[in-house]
Amino acid sequence: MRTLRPTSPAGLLLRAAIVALTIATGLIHATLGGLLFELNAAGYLVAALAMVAPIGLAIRYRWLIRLGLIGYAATAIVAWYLMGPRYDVAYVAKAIEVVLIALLFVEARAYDGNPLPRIRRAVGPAARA
Amino acid sequence: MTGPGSGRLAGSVALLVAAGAFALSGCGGGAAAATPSSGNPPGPYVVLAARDMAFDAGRLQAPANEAFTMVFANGDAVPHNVSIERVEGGPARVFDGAVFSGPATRWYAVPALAPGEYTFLCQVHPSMTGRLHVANE
Repeated sequence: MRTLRPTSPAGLLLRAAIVALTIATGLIHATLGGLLFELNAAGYLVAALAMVAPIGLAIRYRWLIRLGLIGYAATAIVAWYLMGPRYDVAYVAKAIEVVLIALLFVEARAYDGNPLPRIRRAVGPAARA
Repeated sequence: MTGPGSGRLAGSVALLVAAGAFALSGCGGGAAAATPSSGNPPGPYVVLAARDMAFDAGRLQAPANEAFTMVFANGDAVPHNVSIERVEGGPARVFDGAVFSGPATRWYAVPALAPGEYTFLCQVHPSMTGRLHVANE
């Protein structure tokens, strides 16, 4: 797993799948109407952009974007489980989110390793302040 | 150049995507029966419409202890449905209409309800609600 690189064919395929699934669930949410779904869709589309943006800040914090997207998708699944409607489009969106989370875990495991030291480094100065 | 783990990872990715596609292809439709409609339904019925992300009625009345039809017209291009929850004794879902996108009209076959106060709502957009008063006629 650790031999995977972002520029390798497998790495590119993985990233493309993540971005495609993120956009897909974002577009599904955009069709549902209502402010909550539109914000949810906007969040997914911003996350998809952040996963591929070739700017230094996004590249540096890609690990955090991955974790955030995992949390975002997991929150959407839990919220749907607790109060969402059970119908075909919802099942499609949740299936996409489950696969998305799995792929994000694969990428995080390959590129980031244990996130705790990174989190400590990132929040350490703020916590000391 | 890729390492030996890349092939395995590519296989894993392909497997996950295939599993997702399988999940997507296998999932199917909605909750309670909803019938494509035309004309008037037989027996007692109530009429409700959704337009601009709101129901057109805040209060409905239905007969007690008798199954009835709810004629639901979704005038929005987004998905809506009608679910019914009992109010007394804590919220309890007594009916779930199938979710569908408009503009379209469906007939929901609502089972007999005991007399009392109920809430009807759209499960997709829970801010869309109203009251259903069920009483002996």
